[in-house]
Amino acid sequence: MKADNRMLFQIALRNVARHSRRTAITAVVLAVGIAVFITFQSLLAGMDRVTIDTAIDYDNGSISVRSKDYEAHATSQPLEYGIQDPEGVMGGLAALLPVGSTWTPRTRFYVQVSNWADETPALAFVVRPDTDRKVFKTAQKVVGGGWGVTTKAVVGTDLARDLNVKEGDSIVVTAVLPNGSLNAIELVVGGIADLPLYSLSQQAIYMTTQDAEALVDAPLPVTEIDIRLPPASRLDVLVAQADSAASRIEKNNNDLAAVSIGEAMRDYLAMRNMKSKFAYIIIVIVLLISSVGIFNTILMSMYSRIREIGVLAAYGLEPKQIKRLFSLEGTLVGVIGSTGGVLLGAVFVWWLTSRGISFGGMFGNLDLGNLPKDLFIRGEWNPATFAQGFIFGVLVSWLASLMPARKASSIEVTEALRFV
Amino acid sequence: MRVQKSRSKIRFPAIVAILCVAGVISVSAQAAAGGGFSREAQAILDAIDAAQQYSSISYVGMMEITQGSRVLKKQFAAYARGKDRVFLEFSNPEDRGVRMLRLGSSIWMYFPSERDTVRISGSLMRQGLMGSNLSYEEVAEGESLKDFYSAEILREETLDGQPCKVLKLSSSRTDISYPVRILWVDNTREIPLKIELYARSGILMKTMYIKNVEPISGRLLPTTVEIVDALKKNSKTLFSMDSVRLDIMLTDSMFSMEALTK
Repeated sequence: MKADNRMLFQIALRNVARHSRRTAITAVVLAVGIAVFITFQSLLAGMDRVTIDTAIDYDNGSISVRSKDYEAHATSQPLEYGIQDPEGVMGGLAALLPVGSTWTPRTRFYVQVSNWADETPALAFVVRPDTDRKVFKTAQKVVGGGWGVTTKAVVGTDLARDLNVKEGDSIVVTAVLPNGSLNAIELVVGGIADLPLYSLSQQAIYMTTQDAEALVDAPLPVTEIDIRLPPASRLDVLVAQADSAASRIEKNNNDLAAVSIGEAMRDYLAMRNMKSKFAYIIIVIVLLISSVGIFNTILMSMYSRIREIGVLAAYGLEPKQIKRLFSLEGTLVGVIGSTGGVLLGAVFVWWLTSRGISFGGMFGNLDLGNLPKDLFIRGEWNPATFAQGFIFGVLVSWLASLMPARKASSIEVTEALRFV
Repeated sequence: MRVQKSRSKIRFPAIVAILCVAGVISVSAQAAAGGGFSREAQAILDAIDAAQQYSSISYVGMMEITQGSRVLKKQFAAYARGKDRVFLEFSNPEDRGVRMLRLGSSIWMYFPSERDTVRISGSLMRQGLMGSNLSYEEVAEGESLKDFYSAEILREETLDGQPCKVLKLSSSRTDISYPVRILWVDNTREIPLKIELYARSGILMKTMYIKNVEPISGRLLPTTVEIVDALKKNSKTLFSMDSVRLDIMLTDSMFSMEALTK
């Protein structure tokens, strides 16, 4: 008998349908595994997005431009390594950045903040209120009217809680100045900023240039120019754009270091790659379980149809065609399961993107590092993940069916026909 | 009034109270060029300054650090030579073996449990030495302050039953921690009983109360000092010295990185 591929496919399809319960169980296991993989990847992508966006919105901008000396001593936030001619640098940015980019100067340095009874280390940010709100969302989080008002300071929620201060209370800010001397100024808490980053909520104090100059008793250097690039639909596009713009800035300013968000979040992104690998481990485990199921299904199918195999062989079906028939059955189970997994995954991702998951309160007041407080994650659609899930599912199913298919193709016709 | 100008020996701030008190009481000779009040101020400070002249010192120090309701006790052996070498080794059980070395304005801490040496710099200099109210920055103030300040007598008043002159030390230099210091100096013994340290902005940062003064090797030395941080009113440090020995032989090897990490 000359059986073409179409006939083999029809036979395989009929056999898969005939053992519907067995096929369904195997396909469901596969589908759930693939759906979990797709959902997990969507959740991770959402977590990346919210983490990077939070860093851009409150801490780094898309790019942070600093002097190379400052960057070399960045851990101590030194005031003595400010940007030479910051106005000149900002004047030249328009030519180097995409249309719609915004930027603002900031100065950050370590201080001590006291409520007259207790004192704690803090990180002072000197902001220019009009341009700062075009780059950062900090101003939107301030409760109280003291943002950008001289003699008033805005402090992070947790810092305010630690110091037990509220709006209108007096605080003292002390700093060690570049010349080694010490100075302190008294300010009034003009607002509390409910910042989503623990590091800022626990440490940040925002003040005006006038107050900061009174503190350092000298003209204040600008230690960073923070840039916000226009939004991008995908995170990798955003990171690539920031890298590219940072590179252009550095080429045009030899004494400046432009730290893109990708570079600033290098440690986090490295961890993200690890998380992504973890997702692949999940799918490998699930597919391994599924492959055992598929192997078992095809093997069972083969043993229950030995006489049928004998008849097909007697009609002239070649061993390689019998092998192809059984592997086709396995692949069909894989296609059914993978399709189900993709559909189920799409439902989960739709739910994640439209509703999101709030992890707020789950971690108490635990410092989550780069992750924002009140973590709320919306999923991200990623077609590549769907394709990966589907291909993995089909491929594993096909591989799992190969061994039973080979066994079926090696059965002798006479033995098969005698089999009861 | 005893007026003594010693140039033969190095004045140095040693550590903790010695550092602070000696620093405070040094004034510029130029200050004496002012009016009669300033000349008198200079004379008083010269007299106190004379008691602080020594080439080296060793003592056993105690710090009782009060942080709210918590009280920590630290004990250490201290050695200092000249104005820029200080070595401390803590011996209280919690900090046994922790050492500090100051060479010039640089400070290193050695922590035996981690076998790690940490250089104290930047904002860490504002942190208290071993949790006390004395900052590393103040420990690092090695230079004599005698050329930094001009002095004047503000008024006379009684402090704890002792008639005192209240002296104001001012400096126009921008590279010193406390541009203004106010001293209450005992009229009879010519020793400071209270010292207030002010930031450039005029905010009071710290107050030191000299609780005990002892004659040692012919000098009156403050041996118990209470340091109260004006910005951390819930905490204070009581520093005291025992077994004080002056002008002793201390070798270079005692103030080395090898000694720190031995």
